[in-house]
Amino acid sequence: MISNRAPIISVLVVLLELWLVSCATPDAVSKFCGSATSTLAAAAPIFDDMKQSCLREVNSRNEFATFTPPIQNEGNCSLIGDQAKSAAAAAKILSEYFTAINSVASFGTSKAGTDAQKLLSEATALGGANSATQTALGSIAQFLVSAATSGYRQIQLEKDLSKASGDVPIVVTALVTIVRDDYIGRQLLSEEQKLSDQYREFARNKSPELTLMLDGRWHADEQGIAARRASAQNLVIALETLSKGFTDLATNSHHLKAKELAGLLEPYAAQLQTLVPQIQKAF
Amino acid sequence: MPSPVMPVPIDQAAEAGHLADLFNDLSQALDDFRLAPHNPPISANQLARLKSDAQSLEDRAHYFTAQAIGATLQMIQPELANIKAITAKAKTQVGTLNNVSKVISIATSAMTLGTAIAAGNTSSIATALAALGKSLA
Repeated sequence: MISNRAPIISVLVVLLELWLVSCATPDAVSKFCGSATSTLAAAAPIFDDMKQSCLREVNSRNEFATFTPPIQNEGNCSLIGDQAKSAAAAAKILSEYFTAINSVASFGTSKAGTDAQKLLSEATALGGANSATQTALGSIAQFLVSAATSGYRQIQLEKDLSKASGDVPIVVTALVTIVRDDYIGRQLLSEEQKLSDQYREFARNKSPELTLMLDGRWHADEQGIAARRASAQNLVIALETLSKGFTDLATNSHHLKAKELAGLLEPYAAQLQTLVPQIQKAF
Repeated sequence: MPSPVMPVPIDQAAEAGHLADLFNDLSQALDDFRLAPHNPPISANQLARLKSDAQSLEDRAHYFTAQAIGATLQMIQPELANIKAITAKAKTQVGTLNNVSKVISIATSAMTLGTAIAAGNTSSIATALAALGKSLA
């Protein structure tokens, strides 16, 4: 009886080992998802600044030295602010998706792995047990292997990735449009133009000394706008990287080996990790 | 029989964006004109009027910028709804995985106990029993 059971247990042990090896795949996915979440979190201050940029522009209509406190609300700026909040909410939905994928991908890699390792040593040490115990242990081992090697996590991960494979890039493209066209191309541009108008208006008929002083102050203000623009441009690059990385992941997750998938995702994750501090620089 | 003319879909976000650009350009053109040197000079009243008109045009530009963002977001509502649904399912899966993990943990402890019983080691049985109790808690 014991000799009949031994090969079965050996097969189960091999299956378990195979399962443990496959744990490397979710690690790569987990790292990529973590970078994606950081990128999307870094986008929030940029969406917040859409209303603030509009308000700064409206406030620049006041001439210098009028000593009026800046307005905190204005109808059209509030409209922009409301839409920007919705854009931030869309980014949050994406972020939650990547967090959920990360949870599925990284689930139990240490705990279940430790348990399975323990089982491995228990099963291989099992030599002289009586047949009833052997049968019972064999059944438990069979269950454990079936639970562990069913690839439940892997299957679910692939399902979650493929189901959203078309949606995520569409949402990311929309966010890119809002940041690139509406924030950089419209709001920051008109803020910059009106800021310049404010200085030009005040500098008219002023002494060269005062004009030079105003020029220095304008440069400082201009640098602030340039820094926000640079941050937003980095966000655009990061979002495009995220989208491309996700598409590659969704396309290849089912047929690439763990090592290949890690090699595929690593450059995207590394680029995102480099870009996040650049996005945060001006905010 | 002539083939029916298919209506061309309108990209509302792009159209609103173009209007925002148009109003912004007009506003800036007025400001450039106002701030340029003129001979004879423009009266203070006319300058104030030009400034006010430029601001009104800029307000329109802001309005259309908001419309452009809104239209872009409107277009992705089905995708956002789908992503939300997938996220909710993924969260449920983590719960299921937690249950599977718990069962694995219990079964592993039971296996340890079985091995200890088979070996007839009293102290190992006691330890394994305690571990199983912990798993079941």
